[in-house]
Amino acid sequence: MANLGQAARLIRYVFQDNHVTISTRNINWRAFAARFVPASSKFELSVFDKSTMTEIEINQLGFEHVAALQGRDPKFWIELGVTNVTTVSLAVESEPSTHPLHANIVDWPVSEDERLERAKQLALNLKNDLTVNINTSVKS
Amino acid sequence: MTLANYETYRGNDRQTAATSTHAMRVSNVIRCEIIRFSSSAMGSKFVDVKNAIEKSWIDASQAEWDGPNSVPVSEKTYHKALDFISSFSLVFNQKPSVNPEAEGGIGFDWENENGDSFTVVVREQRLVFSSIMSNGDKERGVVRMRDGKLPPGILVVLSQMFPKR
Repeated sequence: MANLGQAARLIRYVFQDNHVTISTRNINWRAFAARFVPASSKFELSVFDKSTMTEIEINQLGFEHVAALQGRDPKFWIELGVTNVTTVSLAVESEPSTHPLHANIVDWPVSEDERLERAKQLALNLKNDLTVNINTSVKS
Repeated sequence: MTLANYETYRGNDRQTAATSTHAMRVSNVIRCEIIRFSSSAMGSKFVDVKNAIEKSWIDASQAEWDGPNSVPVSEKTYHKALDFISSFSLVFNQKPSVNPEAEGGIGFDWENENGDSFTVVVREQRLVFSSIMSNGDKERGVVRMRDGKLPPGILVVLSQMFPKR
């Protein structure tokens, strides 16, 4: 799978109310907790390449494609840069089997405390990065 | 009713029965823990934390509760999370925020006024912890919880974050 370029922007859909506090720009590390995927035998975190998508298209992708896969509607989406991910020694890999813009945050450490630290560090870095955009998904 | 509809009906019925058996089991276990903790030293001081642990288990005890490949919180994790906070409440006053997490744990988060953050995730008998301090110091580890005692490493980090005045 090809890695996304450093300039690419990513969208992470969030499904739990308490994973984001918009007023304080607080992103809970749980929004970036990787899951073990048996098919690939590794930890992954699902994201989308923002590419040229507008806000309306991002909402549409969330409420149509992602909601169908997850069985529920997203509560927020977070726009972040690939550099935010690589800064914490993770990588972004294109994985277009379910959608052409789908990608995974990969290279998660095997040890669980290290995975926790990476998720926390990523959430913490995003809080202080003004280029990070947090949106409430609005059904149009 | 066609055969296909009948099968769907029977399927839904079985699913409802399984869900309600699960809910009954969760409710019985919680009732036992309420009795255990009402007579413990933790008393009412940490009652909201205890409630948050209960809510974490209720919200996350079913498979795929947070989407594909998320791991449910087990009953053992729920009991151990209560044991952990019970021991913790004897030593510290700072209440954590509590939420389940996708790898099947119940996570406790503390943050102080300097922006230092500390997380302990209870996953069955393991405590997975990570601290990130505002000065860049980091610490992490995995320890086993023994006899409900708090591991010294966790006590050291929390003492630094919340020094007694």
